[in-house]
Amino acid sequence: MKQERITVVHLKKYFSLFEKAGLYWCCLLLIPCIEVMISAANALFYQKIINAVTASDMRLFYRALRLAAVVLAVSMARVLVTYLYMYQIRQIMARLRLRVMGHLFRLPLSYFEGHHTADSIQKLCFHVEDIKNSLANRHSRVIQPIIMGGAAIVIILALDFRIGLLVLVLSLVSVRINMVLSAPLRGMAVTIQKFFTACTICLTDILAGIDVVKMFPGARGMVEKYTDANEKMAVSTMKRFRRMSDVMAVEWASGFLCNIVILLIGVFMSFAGLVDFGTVVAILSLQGMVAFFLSNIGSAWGCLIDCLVLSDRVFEILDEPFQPELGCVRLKSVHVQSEPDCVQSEPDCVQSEPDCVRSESGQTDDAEMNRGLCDKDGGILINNAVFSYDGSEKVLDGVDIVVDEGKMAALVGESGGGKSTIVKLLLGFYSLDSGNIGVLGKQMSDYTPEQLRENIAYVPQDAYLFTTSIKENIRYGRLGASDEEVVEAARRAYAHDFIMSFPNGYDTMVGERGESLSGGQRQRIAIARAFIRNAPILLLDEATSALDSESEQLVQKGIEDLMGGRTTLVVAHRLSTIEKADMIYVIENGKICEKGKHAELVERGGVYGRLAALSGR
Amino acid sequence: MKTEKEILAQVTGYVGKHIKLILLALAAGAMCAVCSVAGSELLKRVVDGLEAGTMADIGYIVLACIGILAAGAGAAWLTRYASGSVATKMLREVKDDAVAHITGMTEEYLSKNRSGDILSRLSDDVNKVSSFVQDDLILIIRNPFLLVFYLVYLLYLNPVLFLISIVPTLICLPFGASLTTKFKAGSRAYMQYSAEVISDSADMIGGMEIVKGYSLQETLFGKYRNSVWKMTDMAVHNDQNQYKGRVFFILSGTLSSILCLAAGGWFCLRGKMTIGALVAFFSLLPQMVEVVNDMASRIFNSKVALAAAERVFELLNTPVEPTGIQESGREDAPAIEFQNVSFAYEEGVPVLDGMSLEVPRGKTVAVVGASGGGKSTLLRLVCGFYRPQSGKILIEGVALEDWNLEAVRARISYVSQHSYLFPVSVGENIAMGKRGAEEAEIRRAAEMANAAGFIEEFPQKYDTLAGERGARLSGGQIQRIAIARAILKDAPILLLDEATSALDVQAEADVQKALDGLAKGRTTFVVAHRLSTIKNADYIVVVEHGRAVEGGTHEELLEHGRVYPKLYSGYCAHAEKES
Repeated sequence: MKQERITVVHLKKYFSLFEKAGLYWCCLLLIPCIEVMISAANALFYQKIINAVTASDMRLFYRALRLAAVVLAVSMARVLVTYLYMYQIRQIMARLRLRVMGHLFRLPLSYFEGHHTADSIQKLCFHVEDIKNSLANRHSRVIQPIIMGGAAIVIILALDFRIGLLVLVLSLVSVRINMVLSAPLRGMAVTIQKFFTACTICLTDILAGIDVVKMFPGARGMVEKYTDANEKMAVSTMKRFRRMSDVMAVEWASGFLCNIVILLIGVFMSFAGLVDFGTVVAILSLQGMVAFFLSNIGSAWGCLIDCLVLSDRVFEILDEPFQPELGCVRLKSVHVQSEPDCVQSEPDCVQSEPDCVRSESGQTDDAEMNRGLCDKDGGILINNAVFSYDGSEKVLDGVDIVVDEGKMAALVGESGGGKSTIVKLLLGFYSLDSGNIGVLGKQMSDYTPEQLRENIAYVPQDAYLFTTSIKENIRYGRLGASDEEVVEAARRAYAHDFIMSFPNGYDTMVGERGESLSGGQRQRIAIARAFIRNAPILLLDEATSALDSESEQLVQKGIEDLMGGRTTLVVAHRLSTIEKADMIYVIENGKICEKGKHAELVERGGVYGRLAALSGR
Repeated sequence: MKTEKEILAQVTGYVGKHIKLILLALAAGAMCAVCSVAGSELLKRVVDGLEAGTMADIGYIVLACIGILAAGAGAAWLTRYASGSVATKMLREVKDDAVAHITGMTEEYLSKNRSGDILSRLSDDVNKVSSFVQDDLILIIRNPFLLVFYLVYLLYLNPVLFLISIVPTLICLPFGASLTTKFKAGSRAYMQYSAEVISDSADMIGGMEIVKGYSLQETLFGKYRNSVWKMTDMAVHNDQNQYKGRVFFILSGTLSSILCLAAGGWFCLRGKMTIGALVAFFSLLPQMVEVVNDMASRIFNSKVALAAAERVFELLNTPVEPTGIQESGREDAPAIEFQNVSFAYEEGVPVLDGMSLEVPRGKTVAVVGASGGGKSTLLRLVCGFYRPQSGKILIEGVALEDWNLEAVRARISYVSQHSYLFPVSVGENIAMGKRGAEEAEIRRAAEMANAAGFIEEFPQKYDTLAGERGARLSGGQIQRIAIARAILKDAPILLLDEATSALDVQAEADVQKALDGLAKGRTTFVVAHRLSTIKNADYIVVVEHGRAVEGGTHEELLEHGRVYPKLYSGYCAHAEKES
């Protein structure tokens, strides 16, 4: 947004960032007005006192004291208004944070797979915090000089035209010098910020891979990257300080000059009887505000641009469209973006995504055609599915899979062949480029994501646990499940015994990324979570990997119980799992190259036969 | 936790290195103040001279003006530059030290403190300190000088005026200052809590697949909403303290100036003070009021910065991994030896309980047993990530605590259960195994790990970026890259933790081949789940309840073992029919 013109559209968008901010804007305008009142009252107070002294007029002196009371009262009022202002900022910020997080929750999974977690956190936490700085500082840096400076100039000129003009000229000259000197400062600040961000990213990586850093000498390079960015940051900070020192010296000199010159001239003028000395002092006390106005009016524009640029980084999330997640054919994202209701709705209504998906579908003919097929089937039907993550490289290329109600199908094949993608598609995380998916006799596009996922228990490859208690982690399978149900699910997943061996039982806190639990334990908690879900469809993604033979047996038993009567699709690596499958689909390069039962496939001696032989050991 | 005093001592350590610059900044600050006061004194003489009709020499005035101007501007420049230099240098040192410190921090601390917390200490909090040091510190250094010189000058102009001007300050400031203590505690609590909220949101974002798969958005959003409002309440409460405090600061500033002016005017009217003095006084007063008012907000800012600095220095005070001095082991001793080792991550939950085992040089030893039995812990102990509560671990005959940690780690290659790839290129990730590795070496390592094939298929080959936690790479690919890294390290001891899990059949066979090559001529200590690994091992240790219950070759154990046959039949449950 460099040197860009600020249009009404920009501003409108910017203001849309702040909800219910009326009182805030009032306070923003009120504060400089109060500031002016204080300064004006102060200036008049000085004037009256000096004039009373030079005229030796006691009555004038007492009258001046009344102004003092005004100064005091208004000063106190200022504190109150600033507090109110700050209070408003806090409220606005809370609403903004919730809005951004609410939006994040509604973004499709592809967003999170395409963005570094640290990136989202950076935006959610630190970039939103920048908006607070805009609210608290930058806005007033735009507004204050205009109101305060304008008022001060008017008052000065009204007090004495000649000296007022002199003040204006002197201030203009000093400000002009100042501006020239401080022009490069902004660019320098941007550079520093850039290096700061680089440091943060490095640090995130180091923390995430700390074991590797400790064990591999070459990984120290990550630390060097950090210190390197840190050094560059220090160097540019020093450059900035050098420049700031120049500015400061000039500021001091010009401030001193203005003060002394105006006073000396005022003194001579007053002794010549051209002006009363009180006025000179009063003008002098307002001179600071004029200088403030002039030196800040130039940066006000830059400040405004800063506000917009900083808000852009938050809008990067807020403008991210809620792309359709469901298994219907992918829509042009333009359609979704043009759905204003969807984008601007309250952060609380996390469920609004499906509406825009269905209303825009336009795939009804196809859907009707396939509905007949699905109706007969209580299970899963994938028909000629074509899918790519980036629109070019096909991950799935015409895949057909049928899982009858209550049956179990296994997907086998090389890693990267598209098995996990099928699971993600069934969960509605992505939408197909073409083809159809039917679930429980309905087209996928007829479901909302919540309805669809209600029918699915999903055990992912990496048993992700949240940083909360074990109980809560299991309960996430079905919110509102009772403690007894949690225990029952844990029992059926063969997790109860080890959970009870912890001193805090079900209330044991799970560490970050579930690190305090062994792989097998995490897996079993994830299975308990699927148990409590009690859904007709079960999706397992390599769920039994990373397990010990003994716990694998336990998990296997648990999973078999879990499968009982459910339609199950497994991304399988264990022959024990594969053998029990009612149907095996061998996937290679996004296509089903073989299907059938274990014995049939082994006999056929194709890809599957080779795979089986390899793992036969 | 360290006390404020100790942290202060630590800050002093950093400050001490730059004491000359700091003294320079202070001297320059003092000089600034002297120049301001001198300007006022000059004014006084002019006014008094004019009134008395004995106009001083104009040349003398101009000269004095120029002198003050030059000195003042120079001093202002120096103040800024010197304080800026100190700030920048100190911050850089603190950050460098902190990162170096992090890489040496114990796993205990790292696992108990979520990375969000550490991150916020080193970015958000350091930022707070740095903006304070850059913008406020210089004024905090300069303002007391200004104040002192102004007050001294006031004392010289008129002692009563001096008294009047400081009485309101003396009365009001303590009230205000008492609130700053509360404010600081509040700021600290707020920072702590917001770091927690950051960690929580990281957790939610990281687990988005589950969040969506189980429709947890609303629940977690509700949680987040509560945290945000709690955070807001804390901030508002803290603001209240701040603004209450501000009332006192502003009261003291405003009252002083009003009283001074009124009293000054009154003295002049009574003829106890010259007009020149009053004018000089006026020229200084706005600056003084500004200084006092300014101090109010600076003090609150400094409290925020101090709370942030405390959090940063707390990080620097966390325990680091202890290290010994031994640089090499004994030739004749076994590679790894556990002597009656007991270990628990948490008190009362023993993971290892009297573990004894030996891994001879050049042999492959496999550990088998139920999950949660402490097998992975064995490897993490060998790496020195944790220290056992009792017993001894010997690496090449030297107790682990006597080893120089870096030296012992140089002798170990470790492939963990969840291999981490940095979000840099695949090539760079492999290169981490060896400092200054050449491209050819990287390629060879990748080939040996059976990774070259798929890497070459990427459009950008070795320059392909590995996403966060290798988002776009499959589990098998990540693992093979990690193995290539371990191969490149070429260390005599190889630790493998369930390295072949989470792979599909084809990839597993590939990796297995790679590992067989890697293990040749090396000491290999492996936590095994695969029959093939186990059968290939020279020796098998069966672990149960944190203890080695039996050991021997596959055949021996099958014949005489108590636990092993049961385990083995488990392995065979799915392997038997295959062969």
